[in-house]
Amino acid sequence: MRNLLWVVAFAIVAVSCSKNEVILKPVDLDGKVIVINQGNFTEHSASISIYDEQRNDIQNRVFESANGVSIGATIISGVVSPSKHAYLVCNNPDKIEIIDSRTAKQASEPMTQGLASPRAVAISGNRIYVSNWDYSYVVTPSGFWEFNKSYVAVYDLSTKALIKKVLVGTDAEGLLIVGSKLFVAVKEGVRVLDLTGDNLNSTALIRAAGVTGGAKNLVSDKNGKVWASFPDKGLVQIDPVTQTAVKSVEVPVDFMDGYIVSDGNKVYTYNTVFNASYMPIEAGIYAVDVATGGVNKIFSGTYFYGVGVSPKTGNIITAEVSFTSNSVMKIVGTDGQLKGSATAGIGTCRYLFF
Amino acid sequence: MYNRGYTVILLLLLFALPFTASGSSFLQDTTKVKRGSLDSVVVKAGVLGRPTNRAFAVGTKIQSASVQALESMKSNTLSDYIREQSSIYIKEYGKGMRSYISIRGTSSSHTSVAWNGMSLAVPTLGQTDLSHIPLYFFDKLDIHTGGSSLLYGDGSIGGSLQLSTNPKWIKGVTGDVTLLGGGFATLFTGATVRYSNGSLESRSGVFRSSAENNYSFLNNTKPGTPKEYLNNSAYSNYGALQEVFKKLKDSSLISFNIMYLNFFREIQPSVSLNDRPESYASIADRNLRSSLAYNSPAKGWFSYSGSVAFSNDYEKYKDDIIAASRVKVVAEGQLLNDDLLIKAGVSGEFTSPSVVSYRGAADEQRYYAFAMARVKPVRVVTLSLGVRAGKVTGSDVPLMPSAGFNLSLINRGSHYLFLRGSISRNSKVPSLNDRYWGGVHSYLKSEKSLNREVGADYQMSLGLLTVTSFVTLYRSDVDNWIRWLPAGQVWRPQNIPEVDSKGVEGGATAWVKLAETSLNLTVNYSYTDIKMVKGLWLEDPSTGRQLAYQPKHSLRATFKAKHKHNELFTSISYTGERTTLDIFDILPWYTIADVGINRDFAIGGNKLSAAISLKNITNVRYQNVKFYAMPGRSWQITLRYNF
Repeated sequence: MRNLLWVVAFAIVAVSCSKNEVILKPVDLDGKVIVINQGNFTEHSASISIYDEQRNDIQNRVFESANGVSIGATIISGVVSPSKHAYLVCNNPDKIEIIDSRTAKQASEPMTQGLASPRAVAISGNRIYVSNWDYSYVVTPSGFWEFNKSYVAVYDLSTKALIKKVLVGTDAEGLLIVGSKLFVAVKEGVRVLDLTGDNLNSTALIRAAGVTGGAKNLVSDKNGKVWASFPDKGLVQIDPVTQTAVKSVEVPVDFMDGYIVSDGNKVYTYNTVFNASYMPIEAGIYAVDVATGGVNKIFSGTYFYGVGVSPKTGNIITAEVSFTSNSVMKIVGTDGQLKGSATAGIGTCRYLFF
Repeated sequence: MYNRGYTVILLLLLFALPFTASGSSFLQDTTKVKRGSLDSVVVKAGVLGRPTNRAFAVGTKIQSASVQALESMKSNTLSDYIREQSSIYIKEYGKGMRSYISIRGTSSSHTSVAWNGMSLAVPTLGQTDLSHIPLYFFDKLDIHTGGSSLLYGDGSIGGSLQLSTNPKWIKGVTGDVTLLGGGFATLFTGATVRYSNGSLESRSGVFRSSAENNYSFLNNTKPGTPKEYLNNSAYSNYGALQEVFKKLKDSSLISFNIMYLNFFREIQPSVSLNDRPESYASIADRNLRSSLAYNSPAKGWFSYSGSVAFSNDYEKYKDDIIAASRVKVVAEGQLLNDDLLIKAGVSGEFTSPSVVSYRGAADEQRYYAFAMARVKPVRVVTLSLGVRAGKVTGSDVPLMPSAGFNLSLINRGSHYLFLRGSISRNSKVPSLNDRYWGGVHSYLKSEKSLNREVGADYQMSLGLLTVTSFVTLYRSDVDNWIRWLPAGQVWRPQNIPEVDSKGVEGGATAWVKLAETSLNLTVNYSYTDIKMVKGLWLEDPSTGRQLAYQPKHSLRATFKAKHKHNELFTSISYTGERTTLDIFDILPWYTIADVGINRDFAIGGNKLSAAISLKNITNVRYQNVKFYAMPGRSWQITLRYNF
C-alpha cells in the first residue's frame, strides 16, 4: 500500500508541475471495491457489485437496488474520481454512467455526447478523457475488425460538456495521464498527447523495437515509469520524460484488452489459454517486478477476464468467468494463496478501489 | 418436497403399470374416446393412405388445435397461438419480433417444426422463429410435447409442432377473405380460394401483414422509468401458398404444394437503445418450401408414399447473407391389420448453405431410416416400439429408439381413464452455424436426450357436462447441450455435459352444452424444473439452478360462452418468475388477460364472422426478455368471410 501511495504522490507532483496546473488527488480508501461485471453485449446485462475488503462480503446488482432501474448496457471499464464518483464506461448503448461509489446512486445524467464505442476513461484536473474506437472499421484479411479512426474525446469535468475530439490511431484502448501528458494505447503503439491548453497535440508515438501487435493498456510504477501491455510480447517500459521505450518484458497478457494493473512495485497481467476446441484450459495471474523485470506466476485458474490489486490490502482480485453464468471472484493474498471467493455478476472484469 | 413426491408418483406408476396392464380387462382404444369439440384430444390413429407418424405417438401427449381455435386465430402467427392457447413458454423479443419456443425447458432448436413433414427450421440456424409461421395457411396443428425423434427426426428433443394442410374435396369454389385491423397500425389481409371437382383440388392463398408497433413502454434503464414510444419496430410480411391435389382412378393421391414467405422487419431495439438511431437495424427473410408427394391407394393392408421436397432460405442482416437450399427425398411404407400397424421409411436430405462467415465446406448430407410398430396385444393395451437411425456428414447420430404404451383402466359408461407412458432416446445434430460459423467446430457432439414420461387422461360425461383432463410427469436428461461461449476474442459453441429437465403438465377442459348455448373452460398448467447438472467448469454458480429464461410455472386459461351465433371469449396467461443468465437478476411474473366477442352472420348461404378483442386489458407493462418491451392494452377487429 505504501508503494501505491508513493505512485499517487508522484502523480500529484507530476501533474502539479504541469503547465495547466491540473491537480490529481488521491482517492481516500474506504476499503471497498466496485466490481464491474461487463455483461453480454447483446443482452445489455452489465451489473456492478460492491465488495467490502474488511468484511469480505459482496453485494450484487447494487445499481438496480440503488436506482430502481438497470444500467442496460455492457460496462467496459471505469475509474473512481477523487470525489468518489465512479465513471463507468458503457457500450451498447454508449454512455458513461456516473454514480456515487458509496451508494451506487446515479450522481448525474449519463454522459452520451461524443461517444462512439468508448473504451477507457481518465480524469485529470477539470477534464475527462475518453478513448473511443469510433464506429468506422476496416476488415482485416483474417476477418477481424479494426477501428482506424479511433479518437480521444475531452470533456469538462464540471459540466460534462464535450470540448473536442482528437484522432489517435487504430483500436484506442487504455489511457494514462502522467504530468501534462496523456498516453493512449493504440494499435500503432503508445500515442502521447500534450494536454497543455487542451491542445492534445501528438508529441510521440512510442513503440519498442521487435515488439509486434498493438498496445492495449497502460499503468505507471513507483518510479514514475509507464508500462504498456502489448499482448504479442508482454510489457514495454516507457520513460515518460524522454517518451521512449526503455525495455520490454515477455509475459503472458490477455489478447482481448490486455488489461494490467500495478501496485507500484509490480505490474500484474492475466491471461487465459484455450485448447483446440476453444475451451479455456488454463488461466494465470502474472507479476512483473518493475525493477528487475522478473516474471512470477502467482495464481492459476481456468478462465480469467480481469485483474485488480488492492491499494489498501495488497490483495489481488480476479474472477473465474463464463459469460453464460455468474462469475466467481477470487481474492488472492500477496503470497498467491486464495483468501476468499464470492459470486459476482456476468463477465467480471474490473475492480475499482475506493 | 416436490422432488420426493414426484419420484414417489413416478415409481408407483412405473411399478404398477406392468401388473395393471397384464391383468386388466378394460378394453378400449384411445382412438374411440368421445372427442366433442375440445381443444385437447387424445391420440387418433393414422389415416391409411396418408401414413402419419402421429399414430405411433403412443404414451405421449399430443394436443391438437381445434378447428375453431385455429379459425379464430388465422390472422395470427404460430407464436401467438402457442402463447395464448398452451402453457408452453415462448421467449419473444417484442410484438411480431423473434419468437422461440421452449418445450419442457429445452431450447427452440430442440423442437422440430414441420409442415406436411417438411421442416420449417432454417437449416443454418437449426431452429424456427415462430413469428415467421402464419397460421393462415394451415389447416391443422399438433403440439407434441416430449421427445419424439423417432417420429419426426432430428431435433425433436423437447417436442414437435406438426402443421398440415389437406384437401377438403368440397365441389365447386370455396374460400375465405380475412381482414384484421388493430392497435399499433396492425393490419392483416388474407384470401384463399379452393376449387374442387371431386378428383382435383386447387388451393391458392395469399396474405399480407404489417404493423408499426409504436407502442408505449416504461424504460427501465432510465431514472424514473419514463414512458416512451417504441421506435424501429415495424414489420411488413407477405406470403403465398399454392396446392394441387389429384386423386387418381385407383384413389391414390398426388399432391403438390409450394409456399413462399417474405419477411421484412425492423429489429425492435432494447429499451436502452430505443433512442439511439445509430443502433437501429432491420432484417429480411425469404423462405420457400415446396413438395411433390404420392400416396398409394387407401385400400388393403399395405400402403406407401413418397415425396420430394425443396426448400430455400435467405436472410439478410446488415452485410451478412445467410442462405441455404435443401432437397429432401422420402419413401415410406405402412402395413395394417386389425391390431398391428407397422411403418418404415427412409429419407435423404441434401443441404447446400451459402454463408460468407462459414469456414470450410459446409454442404451436408443426411440419411435416416426408421421402423416402428403399434400393436394391441389385448384390447386395453396399445404398445408402440420403434427406432430411427441416421448418418449425417461430419456428425455422429445416436440411435433413436422409442417405446410407449397406452392402457385403458376405466371404460365405464361415461367415464374413461387411460394411463400412458413412454421412454425414448432423442437427438439433434449440431446446426450448420454451430459447426461452421467462424470456424470448423468438428469437436462438437450431437445433443442427445433420454426422455421418460408417464401420464393419465381422464374423461367424463355427466349429463350436459363433459370434462377431459390430463396429467403428465416427465423427466428428460439432455447430454451435450450446445451453447455458444466466449473463447478469447470470439465466441465458440461448446457442449454442456448434462442438463436435466423434469416437471408436470396438466390440463382440463369443461364443456357444457345447453340447447343453443355452450360454455367451455380450458386450463393448462406446466411446472418446469430444468437445471444444468454438469457444467463446463466445476464452480459454475448456475449449476443446480433453474436455467435462464425458464419460468417454473406457466398457466393458460380460456373461457368461451357461445349462444347461437354469438360468442364471448376470454383468456388469461400467467408466466412465472425467471432469471436472466445472471442468477441474481430475477424477472417478475406477469399475467395477461384478453377478452373479445365474436358473431357469425349468414349472408346468402355464406358466413361472415366478426370479432372484436381487447388484448392485455389490464395494460400490464412487462418484458418477456429483459429490456424488450411488450405491448400494453390494444384492440383488434377481425372480419372473416367464408364462401
